[in-house]
Amino acid sequence: MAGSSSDQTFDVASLVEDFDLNRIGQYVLVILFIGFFLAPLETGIMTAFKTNRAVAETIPLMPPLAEGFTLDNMTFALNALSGAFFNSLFMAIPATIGSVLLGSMAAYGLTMVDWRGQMGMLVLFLIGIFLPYQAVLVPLARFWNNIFPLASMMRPLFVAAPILQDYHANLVPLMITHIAYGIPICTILFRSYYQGLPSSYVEAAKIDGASITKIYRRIILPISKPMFGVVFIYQFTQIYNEFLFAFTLITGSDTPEAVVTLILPAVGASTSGIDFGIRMSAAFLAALPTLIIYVAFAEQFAEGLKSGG
Amino acid sequence: MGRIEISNLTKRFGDTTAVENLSLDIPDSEFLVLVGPSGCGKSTTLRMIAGLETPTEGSIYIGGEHMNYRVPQNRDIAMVFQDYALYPHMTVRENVRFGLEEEPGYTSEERDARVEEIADLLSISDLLDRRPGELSGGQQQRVALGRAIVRDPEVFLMDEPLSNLDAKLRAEMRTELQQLQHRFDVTTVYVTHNQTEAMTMSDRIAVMNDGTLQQVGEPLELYHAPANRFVGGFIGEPAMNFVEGTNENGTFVGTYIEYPFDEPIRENVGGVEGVVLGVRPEDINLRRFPEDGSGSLGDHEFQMTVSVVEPHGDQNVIHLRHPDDTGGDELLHAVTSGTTVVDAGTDVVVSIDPGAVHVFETATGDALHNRRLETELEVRNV
Amino acid sequence: MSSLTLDHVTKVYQDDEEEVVAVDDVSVEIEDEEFLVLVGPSGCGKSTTLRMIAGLETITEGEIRLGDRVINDVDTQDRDIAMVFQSYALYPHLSARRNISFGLEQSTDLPDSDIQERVEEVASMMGISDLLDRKPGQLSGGQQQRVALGRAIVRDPELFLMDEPLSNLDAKLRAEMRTELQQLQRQLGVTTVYVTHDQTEAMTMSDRIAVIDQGELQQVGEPLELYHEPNNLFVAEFIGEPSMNFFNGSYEGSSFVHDHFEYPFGPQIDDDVDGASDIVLGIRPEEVVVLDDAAVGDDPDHEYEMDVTVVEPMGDQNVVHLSFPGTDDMSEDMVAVTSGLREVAEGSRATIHIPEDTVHVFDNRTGDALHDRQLDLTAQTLQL
Repeated sequence: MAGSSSDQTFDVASLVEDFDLNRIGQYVLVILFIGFFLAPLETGIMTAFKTNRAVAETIPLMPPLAEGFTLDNMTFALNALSGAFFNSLFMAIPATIGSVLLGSMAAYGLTMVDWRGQMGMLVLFLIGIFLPYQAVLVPLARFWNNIFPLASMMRPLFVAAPILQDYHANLVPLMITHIAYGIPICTILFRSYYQGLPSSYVEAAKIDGASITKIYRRIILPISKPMFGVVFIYQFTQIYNEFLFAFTLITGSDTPEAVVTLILPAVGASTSGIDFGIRMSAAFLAALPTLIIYVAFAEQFAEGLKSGG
Repeated sequence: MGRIEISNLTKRFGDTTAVENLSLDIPDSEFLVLVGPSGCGKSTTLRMIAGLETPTEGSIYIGGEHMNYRVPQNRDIAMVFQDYALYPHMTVRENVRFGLEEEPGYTSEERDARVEEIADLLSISDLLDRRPGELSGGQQQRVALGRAIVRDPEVFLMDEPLSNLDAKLRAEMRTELQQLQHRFDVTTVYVTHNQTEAMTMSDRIAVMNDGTLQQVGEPLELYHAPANRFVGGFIGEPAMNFVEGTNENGTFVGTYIEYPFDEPIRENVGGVEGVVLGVRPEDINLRRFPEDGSGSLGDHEFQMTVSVVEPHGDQNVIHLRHPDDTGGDELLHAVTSGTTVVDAGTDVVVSIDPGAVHVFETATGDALHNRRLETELEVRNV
Repeated sequence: MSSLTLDHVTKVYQDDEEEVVAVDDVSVEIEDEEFLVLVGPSGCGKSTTLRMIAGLETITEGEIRLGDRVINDVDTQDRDIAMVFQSYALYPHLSARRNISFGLEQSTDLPDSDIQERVEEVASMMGISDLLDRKPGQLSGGQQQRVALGRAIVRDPELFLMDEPLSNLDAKLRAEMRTELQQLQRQLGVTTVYVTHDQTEAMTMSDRIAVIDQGELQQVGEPLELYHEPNNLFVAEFIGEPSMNFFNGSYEGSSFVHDHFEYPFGPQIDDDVDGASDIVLGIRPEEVVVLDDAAVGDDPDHEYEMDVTVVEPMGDQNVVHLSFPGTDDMSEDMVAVTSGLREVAEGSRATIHIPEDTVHVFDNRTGDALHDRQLDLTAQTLQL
């Protein structure tokens, strides 16, 4: 009897294990969180494709129904933003490449080459990271406008160039500012990666007779490809989304050289109220380039994070 | 050509002295092994020869030319690193070729041909288009060697090149490296902490400890005539037995054993009081302790108990303790043939031939007396 | 204390649609208080086996029993085992004392004073009493090793599992810790499963060795049994340093025929080998005799002229590499070990004797041993 009853409890126990309450709880929690984070996104997308009437009459989460569906918002937003897209990319891509490349070089010089005063230089880079942007805004504007008016100096060059207009010259100071302010953080990111590399790479190459620049070009640069993916994505997102510098160095949202972040707040806002459909469309369009960059560099990004980036 | 002269070399990092007053003359085409425990300064010495570190004092000459301030690429050396330092993004071919790119006097075709030639020599021709990540440890090792050989340098420098391989492969690569060195006849400085590698590969061994050179000599010279206790203990596996005690009128007196010195030892030891008795495990002879407990022990015999037996197959390492020692500390270890099996706990008679005994001074560690070697003993030169 | 039984244990990993069998139908019985070493090349499944015993991996098929208790579905923390890891896995932010006491604090309700007493006791047993207040970062490799062992011992488990615990130590320290670990295990009498790829550790420390290759158990036995009576080519090659010499050839008319030599078999080997054609002759390096001039001709059928290519002096012995005359100078056919006091010159020619009672014969197709060397282990015992 005792034996059979213990068998019974054993069976029950194993049944319960199959419907582990803990596990069910975990799944429920995960689903709740997913819903919580995805709901605004879904609302946004749905709103972007709804007519004003549909926005007013349906629940935000609902997809647009037959007559509530429209592409007008998207077309409008695209028209409003197209110039700004070009401006943003024209400024952000060179700025990203510049800061990432220079950061990597600086990190190489700070970790893999021996020279006096390395520590002092590193401290300067660290200070560069912690310098608050707000503190430099006014001096920066004065510098580019009065002391070194690069934009007006370069205007003739831009007039002569194809595709570009003279006002695009106003983006160059912004680009250079971003490169300068991006170098410190890029340097620190690359530095931690380079510190993890065995020093024997550089030493072996030295004995093989390679110069400092050749070691960088042939050994270190190719080896740090995954890290480039990580830093590139990070830096592009930063620069593309940046507002303060753009707001200070470009005079306003109504100028032709305005970048996306300057124009975005104004799209869809008018005296008659806010057009949510247009705003949402614009927001999604504005986010598109960063999404594309993520997808393009996804492989390097994953590998870079894996190898201790 | 590839002769390396090092005189009074010192290297300090801040307050710590890594290498102190090291002088060493390595003749052309010699295979010298620098050996010592980690942190003894052997790698720093190698790196100074390579030009990766600058000497604080002293000078280095390669082929009669002063090298102290010359950059690595102008020293005509090649180096093999412990982690191989193969460039992960290049194929084996590109890795081997990389060192040739800065060498003058080659056309591009000649460089390619040279890479093929070296690959053939090291039997890595099939691997030329693979990346280092796709190779086994042994193969990576070969590629690293290829990269060093391809430039045909005056001097090879090797920093523990075999330490990342497993035991079997290491033994294989040992002989292979040695044969390679013979073939190229290039002066080689090889750094290792492994005394077996030092013994088996080198023409001469330089033993370092705490930044100072302890002894330089041929392997068997170091084995049979160590200059001091450190060398005696470092060279040889299992290690030499050391018993500390005092010299009382020509007799060694330790905590548990007394060992009367014979005439030649007495002469060498003289009046030194604090001495250490040294004897190699294979020079300790064992026989069974008579069952009845009687039996007379000779002057150089002791009763001991087997505490642990380590069978290796070809030989057994027998750990012995003295019966009076209750703490169970090991006094001696002996080596017997693999087919002689002894059980732990057995009482045995240990005899140590005076001809096989080393005596060191406790205070300085210097050797006062080294074992006698009858040179005619079974020497065979066929 | 109790015995441990692995009963047809199999582990299959799912890797991209592909099934990888890491451990294939392994059955071993480990007796109470026994020291068993699981040895094999890297990737052979020995660590997976250990991790299944520890409960860190699930068991695909088969059963693991500790005593009479099936522990397949018992959680790791309830198995009453202690494990020492290769990396020691000491908590870097805790002192040695806290590292050792941590397990006890988690698993028992002992009062603090009792725990401290246990820790002190174990520390003095391991000779680390002075180090108890240091952090792992302030300890040397050997000391960390001792703390890791102390942490395992303090819980007084039924079973010790050790995963290559000595592989991060240098050679001298490793040899020392080997005997120390062995003595400790005897003293505590705890059943121990020890994983290593180092055959020397396996030989010197174990009561019995289990050799694993490609997930399959090759042989279980006492060290000298494996050394002198290997089941197959793999065990013969894996156990012993330097490795056994092997010659591939054929069995023709009661002789072994190789490209460079012929080795006639006596009646007993003939009996054992009968029926096989493709065979491998094996001989341990220390059994190969480099003959003195006076001894040449005593057994002319089993004597061969060979060239000495490389001599590796070890001090106590010389490892002599030999090749048959007329072969390429880089090739090596045989390794012999001679006494260290005997000098053999590189480049010279020597006469080699391969005594008949020391040879092993294997079937080349299956790898199984057909004939083992003649050696009565029990009779040899204590022959000093």
